[in-house]
Amino acid sequence: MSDPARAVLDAKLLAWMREPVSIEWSGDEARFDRLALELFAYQFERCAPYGRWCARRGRTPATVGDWRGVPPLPTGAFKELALRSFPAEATVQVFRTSGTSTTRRGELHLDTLALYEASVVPSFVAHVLPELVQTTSSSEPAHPPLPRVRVLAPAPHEAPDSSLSHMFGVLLRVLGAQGAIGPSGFDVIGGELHFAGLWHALEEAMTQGAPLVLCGTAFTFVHALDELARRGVRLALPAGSRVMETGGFKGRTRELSRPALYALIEEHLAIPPARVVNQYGMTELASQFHDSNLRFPGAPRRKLGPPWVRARLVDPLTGGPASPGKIGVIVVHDLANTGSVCAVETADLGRADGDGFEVIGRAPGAEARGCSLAADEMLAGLGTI
Amino acid sequence: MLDALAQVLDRWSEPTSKVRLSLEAALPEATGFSREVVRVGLAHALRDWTGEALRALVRRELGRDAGPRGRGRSLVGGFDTTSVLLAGALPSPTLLAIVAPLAVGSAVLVRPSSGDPVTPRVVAASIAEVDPTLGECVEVVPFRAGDLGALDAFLSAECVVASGSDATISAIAARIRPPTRFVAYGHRVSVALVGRGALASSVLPEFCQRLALDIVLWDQLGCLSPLAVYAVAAEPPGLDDLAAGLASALDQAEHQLPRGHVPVAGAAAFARARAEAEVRAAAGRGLAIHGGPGNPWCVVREDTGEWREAPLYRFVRIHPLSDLEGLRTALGALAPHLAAVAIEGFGADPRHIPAGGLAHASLALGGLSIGVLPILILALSVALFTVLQLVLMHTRFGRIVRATADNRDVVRLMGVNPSRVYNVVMGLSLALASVAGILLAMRSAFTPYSGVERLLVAFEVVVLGGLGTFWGAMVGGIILGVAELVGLRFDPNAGPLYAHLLFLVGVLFRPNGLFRART
Repeated sequence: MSDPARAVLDAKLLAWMREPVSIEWSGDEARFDRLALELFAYQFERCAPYGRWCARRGRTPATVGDWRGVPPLPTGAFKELALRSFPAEATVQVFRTSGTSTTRRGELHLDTLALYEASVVPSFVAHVLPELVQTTSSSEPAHPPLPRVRVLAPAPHEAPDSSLSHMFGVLLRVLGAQGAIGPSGFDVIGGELHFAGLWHALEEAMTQGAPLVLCGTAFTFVHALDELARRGVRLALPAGSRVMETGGFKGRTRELSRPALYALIEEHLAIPPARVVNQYGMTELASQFHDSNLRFPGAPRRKLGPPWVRARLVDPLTGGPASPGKIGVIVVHDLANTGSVCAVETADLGRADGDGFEVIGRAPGAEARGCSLAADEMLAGLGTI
Repeated sequence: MLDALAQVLDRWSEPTSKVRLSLEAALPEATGFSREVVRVGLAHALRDWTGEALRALVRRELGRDAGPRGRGRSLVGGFDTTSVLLAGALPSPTLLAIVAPLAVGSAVLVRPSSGDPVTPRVVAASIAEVDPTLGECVEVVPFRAGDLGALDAFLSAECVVASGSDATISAIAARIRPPTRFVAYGHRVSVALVGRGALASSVLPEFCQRLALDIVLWDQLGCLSPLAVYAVAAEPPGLDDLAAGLASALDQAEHQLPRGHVPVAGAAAFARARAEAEVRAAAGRGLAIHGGPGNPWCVVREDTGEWREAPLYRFVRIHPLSDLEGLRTALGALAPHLAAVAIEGFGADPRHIPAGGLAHASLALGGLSIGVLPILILALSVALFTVLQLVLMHTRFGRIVRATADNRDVVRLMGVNPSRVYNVVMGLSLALASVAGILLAMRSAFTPYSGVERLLVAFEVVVLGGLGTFWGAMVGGIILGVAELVGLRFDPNAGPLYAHLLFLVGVLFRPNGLFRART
């Protein structure tokens, strides 16, 4: 990286990300605010389209006083432009959103994967494997049986532009190197669920009493559960097993509501909903949010993130903060997006919930909307997410 | 039954009827539309849905009065029961969704949408008021969206009619069991196609006002509201003018027909679409955005024809389109969902043939300024008349033509084929008419109806000059033309009237015309 200003910013963030993870892990407001404003000033100058757009809205580093004032770019902008705060030739990785040949795909351009990877692990550990918090922060090696992670998604080499695959690859590599997890791997090969491999891993884990962490996309879980149902199998996975699911069912042949999916998981894997975590992330962001149910058992389920990422709810009519308890558009300020744009307005609706938030659903994209569709509420009744 | 339904529709189409007033009072709160939009929207939607319109529809579609099956009244009958699953918040589709099954003799179960719980009840009540027996054939059955048991019972009717997104339609279709008939209304989009004729400064403001009305009615949630405007073969300044004109019209319309309540999801989509357009504009993509965050409308002049997200609630994109054939490509995967296309500025718009500098060139003659083009046209006309006269009167071909007109049987005996003569004369006439048409198009604008307008004048010229006389037609034309011009001096709106009056006077005094044909 040849830009000294950027190197300083990245170093500050990496230092924050490498601090010990703690369950309490409360945000440092002043630190976040300071870094967010520094990053805004940097990206305003380096990312020309973003800078011009902010200037047209009257938002410049001189007029923005705190991180909430940093203008968030809509995710759709990532489909239109290569939003880089670095020279194009420095690009080392481009992650792309899922899509078809007829739809535009959003792109996140990166000149370094260091922050991306540094952000992934602490957040995953805190929310999916919170019992590892002590282990990873102490010098004592973990005692077997170590949890094993099976990923129901393609490995990074099979989906090189998938941020999800890359994230899982980083998790397995880093946690494996730390000795925090046992034998782990991917169970989607060639775009298909490799059920034989998954079945073998399930049997082995049960034989050895090793807790399993099943991670993957929601629709791949449906495939796996359908296969278990077809075989008439109901497993009782070892204590401590859990599930982390992410993503929806868009364009898939079968759709399920989240409660229905969780009920199937409990029925076939004996993992109760309280041990199923939903991850909320997107290609345009380097950091992720997770359900709080494993990090704070018994407390209301809400989405929480690491300290260097914040979400706020915006009233789309006024552009100001959504009233407490009211539904608003989810805006994410992810400081790990140093090479792109930190403030992103998602296409999702949510509601603030204490120190976190709840995802309500997606604001309609309206690609094919027309008459009679403004209150098309029957879909909710038919059990889809 | 049809009489009763016709009576119901007549009541609905009457602006001061009790049912209309009650709906106008209840809908704003129930649906979120502004009071003004409800009033004007109902007026537009119900204006044509009279009882007679229903009778005509039934006659056209079914041949005669339909009725319940098995009663010998019609070969076409409805199902015993039709379930209607409504979506959205527009009242007129609700009215028709209930009336249509009744018109073919089917009892109706209606599940109201949460967007409009009012209209189905008002429709049912108005039917019962006109005909209590018919009223018993309509049942409004509200049940919550998640009640799958109620839904399945509802879907067990002989026929199910459902509106909604394609996903909803697919999900409902999957729950329907044979032999239930399923009629689905899924995704629909409508667009406007604008030709260059609508972009002329003289017609653009009025066109923009009409387009804006189509957009603001029901806040763009109706089937026919255009979500995008495609300007065909328009130059960039024309696109900009259209965008600015439409923005101005939408702004004005907001005062008379204010936008209603926008749900959070809709407002989010609206704000996001505008922000995304602003990002593209900031990146130098060459598009323009009219309407800021404070405006309840937005017009985006796009730089390509590619379809983009349509957030509704008065958000319009104006796209360039090179030709009409490009529409299908521009709509892409949405093309099969196209419901309606509003067309403006094609075909019947006035055109003219540019004459270049000749159009404005003039000669100064004794203090008068005379246009060069009119003089040339007059000279050319005289020349053509002269040539035609010479040909007809002094050539062998002319003699054959005159002889054929006089007695085709005799010329046939002379070895002439009359049909061939007719063909040649017809061709000659068309050639002369083409020259006249070109000259006319150079002098003034023309439309597809310009010929009809001149037909009467041509008839008067020939009759006034004298049937069969060549120079008579020319003199008659000059006389009527001068009369029209003089009349315009008296009354700028009634010049042709004086020409027609002069023709009447001429026919009164000289029924055979000013000149007699030589025989």
